[in-house]
Amino acid sequence: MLMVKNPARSRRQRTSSHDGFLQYRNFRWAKIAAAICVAAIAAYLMIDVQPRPNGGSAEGYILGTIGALLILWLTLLGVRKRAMTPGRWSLKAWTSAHVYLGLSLIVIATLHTGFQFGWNVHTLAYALMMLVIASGIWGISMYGALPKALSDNREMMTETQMLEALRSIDRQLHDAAQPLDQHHADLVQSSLEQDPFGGGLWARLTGRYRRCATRAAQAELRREGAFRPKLADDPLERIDTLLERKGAILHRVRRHLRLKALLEVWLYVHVPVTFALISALSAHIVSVFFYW
Amino acid sequence: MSFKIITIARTSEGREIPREKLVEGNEVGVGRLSENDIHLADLAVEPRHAVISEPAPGRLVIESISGLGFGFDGRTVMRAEIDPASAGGELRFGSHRLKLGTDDGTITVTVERVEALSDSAEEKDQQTVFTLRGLMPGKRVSAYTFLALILAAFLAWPIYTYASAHGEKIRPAGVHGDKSWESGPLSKAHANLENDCQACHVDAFVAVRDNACEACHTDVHGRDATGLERVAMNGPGRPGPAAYDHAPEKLLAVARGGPQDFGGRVKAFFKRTFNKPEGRCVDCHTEHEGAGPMPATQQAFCADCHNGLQGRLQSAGFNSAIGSATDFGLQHPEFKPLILAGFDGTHPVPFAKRDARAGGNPLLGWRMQRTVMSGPIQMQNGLKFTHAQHLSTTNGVAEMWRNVSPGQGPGMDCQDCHKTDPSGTRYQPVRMETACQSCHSLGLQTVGGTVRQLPHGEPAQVIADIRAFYGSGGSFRPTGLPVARYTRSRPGEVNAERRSADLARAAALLPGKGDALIRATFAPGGVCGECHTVSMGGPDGVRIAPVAQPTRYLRNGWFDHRAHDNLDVRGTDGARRWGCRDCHAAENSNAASDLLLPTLATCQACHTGENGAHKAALVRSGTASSCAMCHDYHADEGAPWVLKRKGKKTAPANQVAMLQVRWR
Repeated sequence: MLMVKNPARSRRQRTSSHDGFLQYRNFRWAKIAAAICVAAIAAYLMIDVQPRPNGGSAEGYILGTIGALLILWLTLLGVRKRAMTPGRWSLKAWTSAHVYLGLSLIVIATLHTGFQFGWNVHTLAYALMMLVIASGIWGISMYGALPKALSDNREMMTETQMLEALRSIDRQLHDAAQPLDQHHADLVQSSLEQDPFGGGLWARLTGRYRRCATRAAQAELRREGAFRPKLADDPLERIDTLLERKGAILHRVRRHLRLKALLEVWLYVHVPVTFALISALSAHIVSVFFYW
Repeated sequence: MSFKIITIARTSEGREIPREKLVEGNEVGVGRLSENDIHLADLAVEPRHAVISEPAPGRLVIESISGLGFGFDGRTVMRAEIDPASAGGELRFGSHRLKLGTDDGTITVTVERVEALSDSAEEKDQQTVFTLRGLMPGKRVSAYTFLALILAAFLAWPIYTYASAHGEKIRPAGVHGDKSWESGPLSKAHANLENDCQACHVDAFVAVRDNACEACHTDVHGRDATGLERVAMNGPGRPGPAAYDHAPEKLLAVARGGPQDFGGRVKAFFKRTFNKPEGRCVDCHTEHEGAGPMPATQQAFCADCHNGLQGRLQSAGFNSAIGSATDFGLQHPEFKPLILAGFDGTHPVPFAKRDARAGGNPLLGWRMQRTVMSGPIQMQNGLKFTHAQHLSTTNGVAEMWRNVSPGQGPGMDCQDCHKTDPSGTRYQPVRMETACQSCHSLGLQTVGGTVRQLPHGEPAQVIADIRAFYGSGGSFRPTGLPVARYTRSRPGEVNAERRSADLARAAALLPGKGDALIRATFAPGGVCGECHTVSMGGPDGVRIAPVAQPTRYLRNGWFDHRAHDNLDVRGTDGARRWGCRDCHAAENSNAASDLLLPTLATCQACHTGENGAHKAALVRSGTASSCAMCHDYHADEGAPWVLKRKGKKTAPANQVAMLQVRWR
């Protein structure tokens, strides 16, 4: 009986405690990366390269080789992530190593430069690498901070439901606006015609939509109606209510879009700049041996 | 007259559902209000937008009544006329399309909504609409764009630049692609090559070779020179910075030795693999390390070869006397001054050629020899002179000094005879006329208040003068005149005159030919023989042993007396006391042949090596001293390159420290 019980319990334990890629195996890769950094810094401090530390010394070549191989291996995550496998070299382990070894590149590559920078292909490769790392750090911090906000904002609503809610409110607005005179009908029409997913990258990332036609239409209607006597069954009143509702739905959708964009945008830097980095790195290596 | 209005709706599958309505009358209204015959539930349509009428059969007029136009044949118009029977027509009101035609003589208007009622109602791909796709350039597109741009600008262009300028002597000015490959600015000396990568990087994938350096640094004659040859080679008129002159190449190869430790073997393996030969100029003269002067040569490079050098050279079969050195404070061979080793009497150089006053070189005819200073060294320079006697404060010399130069201390001091050269680096040879003669007078006779001197350095003239002194040449023996009275009178005008009077009186009383006076003059203890070794004979009748005073003993090392000025101190009685005696033990030297150079240990008392490594027991005061403080790899007559830069802002810290050190 005991034998039957134990595997069940251990399986339950294993599945209940979530081990994210950052904490994978009690920060195994964080420790390995830290050890590499400490070793590199210690070697840098102990070896007195004359006349000043530079990438062309023996130590510089060692650090440079390690750094270049690391960059290539880190890039392979893009290939690796498309094939999920469990075990020691699971995707989680691989991602954990990607994150921490990638961070250790900050130390390795900076020491490789010997703190000599200039307007050349060598510093270009370094700057691109730092940009890739910075975007990666940004991405991870977004992954840590945003999913809860995203879920809170959705309130169990799916994206299909959001889209459907928009379509529904638009239909209602359309119907309610039929009896209006042309001026008011145009205002409603402007709200209907505007693409709720438009606005450009900046609006998407900041959540600020300056040219929101719905809000503009509502404001204009209210301005005009401020001094008009309230009548029962005024179609403009109904329009106002509907625009108000549409505004609320738009707010939720746009918040959702903004959070998703923040989660996503780093990859638009991380991936293309990685390729820029690899080309600059190739030019760097070729140039060193070309003018040897 | 009637209009058939067909309204088409569509099911969600897209199937058409036509609904027909017949309107009697000459015209139909188009608008958003339901009272219109053609009612368009479209916010872009005016409540009462237009009227379609048939003023005559076969002629249909559509006219806006709202001031808002409608679409006709792709344009927005206020009025349109068509022939429904023949051509028909298509109108556009907001999102609706109206097709006009005839059906059995009845005018038909087919109404259909062709656009969604709102943007959100349009078909949207849910997979992309909630993402950034479409808002930003695709990842793949930008990745390949970056890849192509960077490879073109930083790889293809520089290689093109190289290929197009390959073999050119000087590249034309302009923007060259390979400038982006430059890892750092060139030093000041090479700044003019900044635009000319191929001046040094001649061939692709071939590490910079010495012949690139030799293209400008043309003085390569030292390639096979050895120690003393090289000394002769140095001096003014050198053609410029030399590419080779440290040691012959074959010695250099042995000196470098093979790598001893594991790391060294690994390094050597990589250098072989990547075609980087050892011993190139650029091994030490690293470039692209920043604008400004090239950094000073580091001691580690010297010790790379000179540590254990002696053993390596000997085991390679070289009979070399070069000692091993690691650090001045720890291991450095004893000094090997280049000293006089006797005058070649069999092929004597005539005095006229050796006479410094006539522009001659006093060292001509002398054999020179480097001697290890393992103990006190003896060197015959031709003079009889002892330092102890002249520096005493209690003997007759001191008494004479006090009479001649009252107030100048209790006795003579070094500076009274030894004067520095204009640079202050070294001392000039001591001159008889300026240093000795104030005491060792050559006065012969007083003529009208002027003392007539025997000429120094011209023994034949001395003999002639003495004979002339006796006028007619009659015989004269200075009998009764004490020898001391005329060979060594007290200094000063008064004494010289007194002596001249004595001589004149003796000459008057005792006629002769002056032979006795000549003999006495040149005899040991005589006016000449007191300081010089004299032998009688020869064409002049007398021969003075040659005298030479080398001004520089250490040929491979540099010593600057000026840098040691701060050793000047005053004695407790306020009298001058130069610091010379701290290093030169002159007070105790009782032999003329004593070479008073300081020993290695004397220097090491202050100069403790590059990083202050030292033999602790010796140290009086620590002055960090790298090899480059005294030595140059490409040495010439002048000061080491590092010292030449002293005082400049960029001088290495240890050189600045040397200037600032104050002893006691």
